[in-house]
Amino acid sequence: MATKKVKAIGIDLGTSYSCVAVWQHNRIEVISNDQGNCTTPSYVAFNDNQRLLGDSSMSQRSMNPQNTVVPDNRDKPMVTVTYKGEEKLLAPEEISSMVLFKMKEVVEAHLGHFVKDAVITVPAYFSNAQRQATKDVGKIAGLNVLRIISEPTAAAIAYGLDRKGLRVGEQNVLVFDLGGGTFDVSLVTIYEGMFKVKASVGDTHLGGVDFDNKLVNHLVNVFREKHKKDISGNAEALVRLRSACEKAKRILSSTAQTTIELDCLYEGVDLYATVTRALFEELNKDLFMKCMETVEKCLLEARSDKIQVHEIVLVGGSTRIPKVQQLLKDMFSLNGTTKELCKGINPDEAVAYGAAVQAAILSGEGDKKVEELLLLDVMPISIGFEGAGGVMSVLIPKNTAIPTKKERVCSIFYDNQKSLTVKVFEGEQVKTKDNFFLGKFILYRFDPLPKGVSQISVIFDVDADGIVEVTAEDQAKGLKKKITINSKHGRLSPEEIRRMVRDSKRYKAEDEVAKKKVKAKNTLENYAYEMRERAKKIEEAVEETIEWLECNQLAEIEEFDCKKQELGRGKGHFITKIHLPRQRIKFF
Amino acid sequence: MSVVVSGCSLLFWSQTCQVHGHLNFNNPMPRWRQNLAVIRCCNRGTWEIPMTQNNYYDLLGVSVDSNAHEIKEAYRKLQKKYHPDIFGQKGHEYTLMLNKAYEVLMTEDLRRKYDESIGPMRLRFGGNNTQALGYSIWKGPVKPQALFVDENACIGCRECVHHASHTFTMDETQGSARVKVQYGDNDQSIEVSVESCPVNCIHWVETEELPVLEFLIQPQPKDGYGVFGGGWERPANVFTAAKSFNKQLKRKSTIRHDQSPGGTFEESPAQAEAQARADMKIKMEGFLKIWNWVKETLGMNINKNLQ
Repeated sequence: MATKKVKAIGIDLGTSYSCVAVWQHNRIEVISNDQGNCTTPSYVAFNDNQRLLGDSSMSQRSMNPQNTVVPDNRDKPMVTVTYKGEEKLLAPEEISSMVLFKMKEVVEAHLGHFVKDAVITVPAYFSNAQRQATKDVGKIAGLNVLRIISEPTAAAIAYGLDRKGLRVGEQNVLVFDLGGGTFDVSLVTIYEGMFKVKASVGDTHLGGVDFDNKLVNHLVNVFREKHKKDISGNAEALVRLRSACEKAKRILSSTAQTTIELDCLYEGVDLYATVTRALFEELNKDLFMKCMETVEKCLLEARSDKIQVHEIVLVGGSTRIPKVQQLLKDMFSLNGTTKELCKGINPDEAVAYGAAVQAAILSGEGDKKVEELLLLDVMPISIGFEGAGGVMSVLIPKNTAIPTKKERVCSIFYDNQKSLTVKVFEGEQVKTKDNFFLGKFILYRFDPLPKGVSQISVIFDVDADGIVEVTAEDQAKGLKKKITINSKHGRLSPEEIRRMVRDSKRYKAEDEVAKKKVKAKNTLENYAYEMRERAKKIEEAVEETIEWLECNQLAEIEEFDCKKQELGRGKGHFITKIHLPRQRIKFF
Repeated sequence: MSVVVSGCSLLFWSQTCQVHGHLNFNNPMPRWRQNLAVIRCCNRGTWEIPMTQNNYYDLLGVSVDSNAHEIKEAYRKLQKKYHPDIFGQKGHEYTLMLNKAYEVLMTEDLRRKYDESIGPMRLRFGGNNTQALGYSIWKGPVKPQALFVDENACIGCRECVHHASHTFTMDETQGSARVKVQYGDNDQSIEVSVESCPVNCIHWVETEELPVLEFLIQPQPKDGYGVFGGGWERPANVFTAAKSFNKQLKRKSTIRHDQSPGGTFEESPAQAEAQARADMKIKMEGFLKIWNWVKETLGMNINKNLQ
């Protein structure tokens, strides 16, 4: 594979599906995978022979449910799978890195050269720790992560670039991002190529998967009542059922009703159910209303009114649900005017598209159209340090524009205190124990003084990348201590990352071996079939000659010689490629 | 030669006030009186000059009475230029300040506190937001002649305010009188005011000269040089400075006129008003640049504060 100019790519790393795009031929192209799909399932499967990524992992999911895994962004559990007969313990970062690796392969196959630099998207509610963890994931997958941006921001960029020429003045865009496992609402202001996030609100437990589960639970109950059997403990049955429910959900977006038929679902009993759109909407009524409440909350945080929203952009496959669209439309239709939702952007591709734009900006390629764009980002979550009594002392509130720098002067708590520990947290709770710990350091060697006398400055400095640097300084003595928050707590250590990188390379090598094995097997199979065809032809020619002999016992010498030559020509042709039948020819 | 004492300015770090004086040459005082010397001293609270050399308004390049839209426009232009994504790591510190300035000036109560903290020289007079800072307005139609107070000569006796209180006002921070509304009182009251001035610091000037004079008479912030710098300055002889200023202005105007394409069109009254306001704004911005030029090239005799 020839090495050409290295491009920066944009990757939408989704909970259910992922997507990749790149700046090419003076525009953003969303890249299809080897199955011709623009989105690739975020699944990884393991079996006795190999690891499967993408569509192939999805297709065998129902047969291999225990060993088909998906990145869990919510609770981050360790996952055990059986791979080549061995049990493996996988961190969520490893699974995500495999998905990223697959997306990297997809785009490299398309471009014909290696790629290294990438912008990766994450849900808007992701904290700094989670964003740093996503950078680690990219590193494990062999990528240099230029920037982590929020999914709604990327979608707004896609929208803004698409509509840029048509607009005059400031536009407030509400990005409604309802994906497979996450839900984000953001208000983004777009003005002359500048994108400013005003507010972002998310729900970590809301998405298409939850809608599916409502239907699954409903049908499990129906099955129990009808057949007196409980399938909720059977993994295989549940996977089949969930897959069917997901399919039904999609169908219900365009039809009023559908049927779910699963033969021999559990203990020989079939499942047959008619599901209507009305039923689906009734089952998910609470979840849909929760979505609308989140929209209200976002507007409140942005201090904006519905009337100030110019456009609503839909992102994520679940936004195709008619009821969701209807509720949104109703919410923003004011004074008798109907608000139309923006449907010019493909909900599955918008995020990757926007990420690729940002990648082009940061890597310095792209044309003037892209160069004019600028993303002004905000803090996704509040950050501060622990004050007296374990209270969260917020220094940089959520939605503060970055880069930013904040300082707070505080005093020691005790008489003659000799050192001060600064513990850094992020989160929105009042008590630090309910927030996420990022790191800490200790300032030593104070002079003995009564409490409240010594003055310590604590400074938080956040750069455009969202990297947090914390400094504490004793103003009197000039003592200074500084720490760059790497969120070691709860994050992978450098040793773990190195191990995972090695594992990733080993998985890749084993994938290559598995591919070669499959290829060799296919080659042999083709060769065998070809051999069989040729053997058939020889047999036909020989039978034909024998038949002629039986009918022409009294033929002339010339005729006998002529027939021999005919068979000999065929024999010669065959002998040059196949040696085994030679013995039979000689026998004749 | 005589010594005329003007209102004194507050000193940086100083709690006491001293007598400040300067020599006036070629001062057009037709009824100058010998042996007249009035000493005025004030004790006022100190104020803090912002620790940074530039305040937020200077950083954003906007005036102290800008509205939210103007501040937002300026913020966006500068971000487009200096954001780290565009300008690289060097832009980090600048955009830090930019974000801070934007946050403060766009939040009403924070802006009010900030305006108080940067000192009384930046405060708006009487909350009259329609009035450009330090400039007089017209009660009726604009006339060929206008009133101008040479505040360098003013001794703050308040006679003019007493006789024509709708026209003149006291600048309490400077201790001198100035015109707030041109022809705010009837002609007789104005005439009495001008005549009653003991130091003849009230002048009738051509109306077209008024903006330059009013600009130059306002104290401008001085560049700081450590703890000994700071404070305010203005030309000792505002009429001489105005001549130099006008020459430079004329020169620039000629250049601009040569470069601009010709063309005339009718304006509606609203358009004319907007145009006049825009012209005034552009002129104010141009004034500041020319003032800096005058300071550098002519080495004007600046009324410096002494410690």
